[in-house]
Amino acid sequence: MIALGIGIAFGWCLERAGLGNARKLAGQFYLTDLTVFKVMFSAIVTAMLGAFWLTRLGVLDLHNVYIPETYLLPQLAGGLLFGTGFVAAGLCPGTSCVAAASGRGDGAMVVLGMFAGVLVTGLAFAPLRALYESTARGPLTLPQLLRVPYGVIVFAVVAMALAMFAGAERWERRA
Amino acid sequence: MGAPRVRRALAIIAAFGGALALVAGDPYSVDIPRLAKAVAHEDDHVTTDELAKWIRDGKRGLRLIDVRTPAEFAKGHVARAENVPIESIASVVFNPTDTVVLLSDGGAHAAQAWVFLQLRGYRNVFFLRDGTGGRRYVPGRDGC
Repeated sequence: MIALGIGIAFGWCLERAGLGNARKLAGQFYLTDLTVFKVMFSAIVTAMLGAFWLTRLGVLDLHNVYIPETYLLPQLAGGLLFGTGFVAAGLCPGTSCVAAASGRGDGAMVVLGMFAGVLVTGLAFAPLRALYESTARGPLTLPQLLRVPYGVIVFAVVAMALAMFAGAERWERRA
Repeated sequence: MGAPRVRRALAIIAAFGGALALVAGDPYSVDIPRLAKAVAHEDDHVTTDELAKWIRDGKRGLRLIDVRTPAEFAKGHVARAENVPIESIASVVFNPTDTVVLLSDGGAHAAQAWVFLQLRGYRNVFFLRDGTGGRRYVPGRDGC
């Protein structure tokens, strides 16, 4: 029930940000509309600062937060496939659900394609298993990978986000 | 308050939160009281009987991890055990739903591996008290 509530809230935020519109998302790739970048980076910074400070204040135990494992090759292949689908459809999984829920035909077709892809992957999983389980690196985080304290990464990501927001606003005004 | 002012206020809050993070310390700091409590309450290990029961009952997600060297593992091991030498414990990956039982000859290395996995954030981890004692387990005879 909590996951359902979070999912609906996430979908509502995406819809309010206009991300149910494939043209708006495609604008990100042509650098004419940077809404996707701003929405997603805002979400990352909010979640990162929230998780960091709630842990430091003793409200949250970060050890209980699941970190997905890194599998270099399969995730690289999956990322390329995902990116190709994103550019071709103009929608990603979350925004396609939002588009479908708001009655857009293209969104419904992307959702259909997504489930078809999941089904095909499931049916063809046996020969894919070796790739799927290859190059496992465990649950990696930036501080572990770069061997710098968490606080430095938090500061660097916030500083980068703020600088890029300012740059994006300026770019959009010029475009 | 207009949208630009809201954005500016949020940016200031984010900048403040980011800057303070530099001096706030590590959120993954080791929770020694929690680990000590788990040890004191004997929540860190299982006995041979408990492990045998889990195996007999077909406990879902049960992973038996033998932390001895490959040579020691090859000489004899508990049925279904996987060999992950203790040097490799930092990179082994478990599912969050797995129940991990660590095995070693005397139990000392398994107990140390328990601490390492706790530090890596795995909670559903136990070690076999007193270890396997180096004996060769026989399925059926030892209940394993």
